[in-house]
Amino acid sequence: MDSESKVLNVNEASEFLKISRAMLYRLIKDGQIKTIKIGDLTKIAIEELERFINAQSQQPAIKVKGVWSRSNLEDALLAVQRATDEKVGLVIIDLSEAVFVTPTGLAMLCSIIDRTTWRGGNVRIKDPQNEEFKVFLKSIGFWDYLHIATSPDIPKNIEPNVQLKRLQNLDIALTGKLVEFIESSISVSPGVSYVLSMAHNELIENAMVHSQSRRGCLVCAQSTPKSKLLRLTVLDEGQGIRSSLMESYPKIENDIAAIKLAVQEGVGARKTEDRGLGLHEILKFVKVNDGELTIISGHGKVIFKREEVLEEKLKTNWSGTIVEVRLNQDKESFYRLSSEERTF
Amino acid sequence: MININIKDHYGKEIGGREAGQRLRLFLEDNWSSTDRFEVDFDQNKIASISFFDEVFGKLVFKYAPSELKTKLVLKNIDPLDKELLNSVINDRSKGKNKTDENLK
Repeated sequence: MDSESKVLNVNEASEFLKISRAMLYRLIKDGQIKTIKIGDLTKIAIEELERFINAQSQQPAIKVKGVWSRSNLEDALLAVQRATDEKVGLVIIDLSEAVFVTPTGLAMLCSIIDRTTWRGGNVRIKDPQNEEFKVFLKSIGFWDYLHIATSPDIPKNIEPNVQLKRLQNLDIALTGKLVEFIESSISVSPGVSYVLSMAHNELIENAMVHSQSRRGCLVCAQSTPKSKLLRLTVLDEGQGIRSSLMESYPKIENDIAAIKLAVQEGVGARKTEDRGLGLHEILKFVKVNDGELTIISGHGKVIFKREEVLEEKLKTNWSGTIVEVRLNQDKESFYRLSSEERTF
Repeated sequence: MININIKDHYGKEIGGREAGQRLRLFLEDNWSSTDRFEVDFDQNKIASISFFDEVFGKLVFKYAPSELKTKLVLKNIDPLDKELLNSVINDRSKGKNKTDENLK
């Protein structure tokens, strides 16, 4: 290595560490990484970056192995709890052995990263070894979301994804783009495409209105043609379902009961308002498309699948709500009322 | 008859509870002054439960579905939007009947 390549500029150093420029500046400001001034230029020695990496290797890490999805929730929850409760300065997300991430898994990861940085902590990503997965992460918007510059090209045959976004309000135009993208990428029945738009609009509006989160919500969607699945996830870091229903239903026993109540017709945050149809309608339409609706909030996780309701009490608390809609993209059926029930 | 073109009123990208509320208030304000409203959806796909609930679901609490059917003519509505709209009205009617039963 020649002497010139022993020092990096800020862009190169952030790429070297797989962190954003903003995070690198914060580490520099905190004195965790020492810089060299050459005139007006800020440079960092590779030796210093390697020392920093070695020092961090003792820090807690979230190890993502294989597929990261809604089933890894407990790991994610523990990581958030550790990062927030124990005031861990740095959370390492180790993707070296990861091969795939679902929209829910990705939204959870990005929420962990955001929650850590909002409280002043830092996150470092340990790169995936699997090159295909690295490309996939680019296609689903992970590196862009973290403002980390990566340069793998996205091949044309990559499975279609709607890149992860944090939204601050309901953007109908975005729903249009999402559906246009899905329809142009895969063969999907009009009913499935409609349910996807409907769920997208409704879940974002729910997150904005009921969560009381100042941070908006994370939205991500993905199609896996091999398994004929379309997945849409909306995640917020707000008050959670039980808390939002407490005014109307003060006797709700736990988070699972709150989730099951929230999908019933007419159940809303305020008894004085005739609201509370959104999740109920989504569930009706998801069921006839052979889909699944998963809701995670507080200590509760409930999966609605056909007539089955699968409940799980989580050991740790997810402050906020995650809703995942899974649809069978080949399904042709659509929810229809009988003629005597139709007004129009 | 009062004609309402959804696209003219709300633009191409319509949806959500707020837009629904604006349309419902317009309908309510003019309910007694006209025999009929013709609402032209101009083939726009709405796909919003909140929008349909805010307009038609809430009107169910004031007027019977039969009156809605007489008073409102829905033109060029997407067939799937029509399914959703009927589903919302049906659910709200059930909810209203339950409330009426409880009040007896």
